[in-house]
Amino acid sequence: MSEKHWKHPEFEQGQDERPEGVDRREFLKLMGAALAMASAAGCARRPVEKIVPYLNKPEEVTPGVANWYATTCGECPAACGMLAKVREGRPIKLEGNPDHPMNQGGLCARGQASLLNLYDPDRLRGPVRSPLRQAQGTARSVVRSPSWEAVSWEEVDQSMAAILKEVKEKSGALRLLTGHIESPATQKVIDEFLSQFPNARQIVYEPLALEELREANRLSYGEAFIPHYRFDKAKLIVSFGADFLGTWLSPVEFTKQFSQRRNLHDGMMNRLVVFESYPTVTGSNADLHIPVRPGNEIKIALGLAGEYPMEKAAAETGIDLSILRRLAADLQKHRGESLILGGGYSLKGEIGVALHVAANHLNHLFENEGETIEFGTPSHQNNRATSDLKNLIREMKEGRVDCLLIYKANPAYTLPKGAGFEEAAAKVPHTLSFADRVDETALKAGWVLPDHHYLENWGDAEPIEGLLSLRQPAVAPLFNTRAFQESLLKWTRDQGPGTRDQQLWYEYLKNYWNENIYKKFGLTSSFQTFWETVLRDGIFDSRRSANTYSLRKFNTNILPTLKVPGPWSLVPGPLLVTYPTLPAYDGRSANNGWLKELPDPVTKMTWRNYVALAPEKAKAEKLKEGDIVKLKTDDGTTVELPIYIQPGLHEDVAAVPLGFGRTAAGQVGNNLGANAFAFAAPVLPVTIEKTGQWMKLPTTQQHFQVYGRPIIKETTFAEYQKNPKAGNEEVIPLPSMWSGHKYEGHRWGMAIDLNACTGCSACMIACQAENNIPVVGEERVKQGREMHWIRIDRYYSGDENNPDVTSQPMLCQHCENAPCETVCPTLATLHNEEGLNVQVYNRCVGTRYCSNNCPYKVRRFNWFEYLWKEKSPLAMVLNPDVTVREKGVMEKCTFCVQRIQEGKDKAKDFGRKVRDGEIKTACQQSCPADAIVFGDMNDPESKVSQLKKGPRGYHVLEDLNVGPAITYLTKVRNK
Amino acid sequence: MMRTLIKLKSSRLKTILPLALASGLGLGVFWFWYKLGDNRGYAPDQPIPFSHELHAGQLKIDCQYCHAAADQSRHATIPSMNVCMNCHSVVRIDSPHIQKMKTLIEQGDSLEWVKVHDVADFVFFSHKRHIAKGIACEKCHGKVERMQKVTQQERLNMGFCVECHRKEKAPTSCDTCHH
Repeated sequence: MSEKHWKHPEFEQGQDERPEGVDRREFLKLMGAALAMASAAGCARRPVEKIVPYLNKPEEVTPGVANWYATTCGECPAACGMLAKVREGRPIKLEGNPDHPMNQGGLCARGQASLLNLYDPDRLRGPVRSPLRQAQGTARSVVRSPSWEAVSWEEVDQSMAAILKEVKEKSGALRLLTGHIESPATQKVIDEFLSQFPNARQIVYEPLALEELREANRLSYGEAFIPHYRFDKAKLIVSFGADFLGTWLSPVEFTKQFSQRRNLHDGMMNRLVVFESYPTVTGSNADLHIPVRPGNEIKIALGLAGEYPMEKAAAETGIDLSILRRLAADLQKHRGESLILGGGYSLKGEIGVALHVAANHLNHLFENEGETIEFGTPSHQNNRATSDLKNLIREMKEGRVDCLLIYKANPAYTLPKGAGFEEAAAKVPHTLSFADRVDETALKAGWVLPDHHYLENWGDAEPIEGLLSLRQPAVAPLFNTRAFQESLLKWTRDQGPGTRDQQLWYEYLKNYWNENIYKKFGLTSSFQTFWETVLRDGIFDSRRSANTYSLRKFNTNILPTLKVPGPWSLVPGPLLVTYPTLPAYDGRSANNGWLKELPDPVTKMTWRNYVALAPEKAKAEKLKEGDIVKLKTDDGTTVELPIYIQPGLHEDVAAVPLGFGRTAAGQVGNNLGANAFAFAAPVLPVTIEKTGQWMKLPTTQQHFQVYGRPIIKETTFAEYQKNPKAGNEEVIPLPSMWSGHKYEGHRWGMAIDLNACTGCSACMIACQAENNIPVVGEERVKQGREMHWIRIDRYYSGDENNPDVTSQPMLCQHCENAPCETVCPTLATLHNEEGLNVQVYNRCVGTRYCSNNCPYKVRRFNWFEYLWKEKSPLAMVLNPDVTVREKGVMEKCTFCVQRIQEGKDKAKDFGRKVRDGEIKTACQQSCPADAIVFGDMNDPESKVSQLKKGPRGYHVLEDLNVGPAITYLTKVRNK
Repeated sequence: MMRTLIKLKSSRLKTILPLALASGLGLGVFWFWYKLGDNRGYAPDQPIPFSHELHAGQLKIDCQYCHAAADQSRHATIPSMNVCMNCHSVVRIDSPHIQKMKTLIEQGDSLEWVKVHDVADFVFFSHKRHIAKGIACEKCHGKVERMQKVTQQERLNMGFCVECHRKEKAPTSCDTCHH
């Protein structure tokens, strides 16, 4: 789009528009030099490589062998357990902890990509200060110079001691604004720190909090809490907008549970009904997807509960009455085994609360409490109150706050324009931010004291009550940063001049675990043994029995008091809905190239946000994809964004993803799209004005139909029960002129269950991290030059305006009669004796014939030296077991050949054969839905062989007879 | 003389001269390419003149005493400085080279050894696998115990690897080494 994006490109790629290499004259010079050097035979080698050994090699480190450390993900409040793969002291990949009862080995795209944030070149290298100057006249107003000067931690501590002393002595107000604190020990540190001041308070603010759910539970059950949901026990799930497979509460855990009831292994299958107003991952996986106008969900929910006439609900929402009747009957049938969820993040305020109360009522009516909803072990993910922020801003504006500390929050970006945080911040004499960069909020602060990345820090978490996990550093701090907790502890106890080590915080955490966990459970082993065991495992599960149904009773008196319609739901015309997407969430990792280039699972858009409109609406307004429009709300907020046409949306909805339009995120994330947090509320009446401009959208998929080709095979559950082969009709393949290969040892193959796959795209980031896949930038995506080895194709079928969606992971099919192999003039791509279609980079000359001949379009070409000019320290993320490809070389999925080698190596060490399931590809390992199975097809007992032979197995484009090694399993819908 | 040569209308010379030039150039180019990846005889100066002849030859210290990870990892690994100091905190402490090493250690620095045996970045060679198969170190590294200064003995190019792999019926699939 703008010139900026190619002149100042995303730094991962280090790509350059200038013609690279050497011109003729330079070439001759080099040749001459090379000849001269070669004639000095044998002793001329370039480049001379150096080996610098350790001074004292740590006992557990062996160069070339990875160490795995169990730790806790810090990307979102869900706090999944994970393992960090560390090579020579640097984390290179994050995987879910298979022993963690929540995510069981899965990890979402954002969790995995948070690794790249560690090596973000835009992170602050140390604490900085903005020189303060009291403005003339206005005594309390502070003008800050935009220049930042580096300071040492000693100076920070000295200045802070003075500031805190001043605040304490005059009983001034100290406020600590934080995001969600997942760590109980950190919370205690905060409480202790605040307790030394006469007037100090913590304000928790999470832009995407589930405050409405907590409030609804307070009304319904008398306590503001979030229960633990059990999707694995639910046979019928009804969601009124909660995107539990994408962004809501604990998506990895829920995907794991949800897909267990969808893989048809026991012939059973759950049914998912979604009423939603904006496009989510959950909605695209629904068996019955019903677009609704925001605010109408409550009528449906109450209608199903019998509290609102169903005919009226149907008439007012435009939904077929028979659908609602059938759903009500289904709910009756599945008493105790259904699960009803209220709204998502976008339904705020009274109507959001009302919808959750209605959902609670439904769960109560259909006896799900204690069955699919557990009260005994409530969730602590995202469970903190958030509403105090308005009071804080008022206090700040009135000049009543003397010192403001900001940790894990970016209100200057995530608050609406009218909230006035920035003006208020100017009235606080001392503002400190613990952000890792000078972000939008830190710009208003006098000091920025960068916190560690969570992979450099100690910590703990309690995502579900009784389920405790530890966080341990996987790498020594890269920069001169200091843990937030360390700072607070230093300022709590007068420790004299500060040091950078984490001694205080580490000792504190250990002591906290000793006092509050170890002693509480009266364990027999010594504390040191307990501590080391938990460090190794990552978790301590103290939940005694999973289902301790508490005495909480649904308070039915609350029902009549619900205010049904929202203030905007009566206004006709389009409604703006701002919503979080899986890759962007609330924009916290906006400077992460992997996430920026990850296509949104629903819209397939990368790099920027857009206004999603229903096809009918776009047609009526005469808008086409890419037309730039101006969105205007009543309070005068305007935002310009391109149109994206999204089937399955309600006609009245203009949906805009959150998390874009950051202005101080860094070189990658700045000024991409527009900030949808700027609007006063997530749902608002809006006017859409054309601007007459158009832009090409950076999408990775333009066609969503299969045009009758055997790409997606689908059927309904009813058909499947009659005939498991339903939908999987035999295809008559073309005759083959090849004799075929012989496989004497292994023959690697894969099976992908389209029914389990939710399209969450965790596999794409896993592959990117594992295989050193570059980020190419928005302009290259528009040219179709993205480099992902695995992509998620998304296809539509059925009703054009509200289609059924199928997500299909597409990667190299490792064909038996591979069309790419026969056209390679240099034999750079060829078949090996284990069925892999291998790509030999050092042979490839870049003719791209193979890519041209590939029916699956999975080959990727390096148009630039994407990874060569990376800014430090980004190159540290590279996997040393995989070659970094250079310009002019073709690449593609290798079935993680380095992992196959590693698996075989391990088996050889023990003198045995490779066991089935022992070798896992990166995509398979990361999959929260267990949709991908990899194994040896020569072993008839292997899981992949079984699935291949099974009734649902088919090959994509089978008629071409290329013999793919990947078997897809038919998509079954529980209509 | 020149004049006569040029004036000579000898068709033979007219043919031979360019041919000779061309073949000379061709040979040169061939030799150049042939020599390009051949590092046999490469024996760079190391930061201290460590003698394998003394340590491995005369004193018969086992290779893996220093190159400890050779049977556990892809890399044989260069010993960390504390391994040197195991002996040299008592043995020959007056030698200037040992002094140099000691000073470095006290400064928190390490020696920068120059890599002698090096394969291309797109080649993944595993010491562990080869040690497990009982392949002697000298098969690739030559008789190190007789070397004052370590010198590359074998070509260590793809031909060298594949020749042995064929002979020993080891895998020769591309992805064995290239991934």
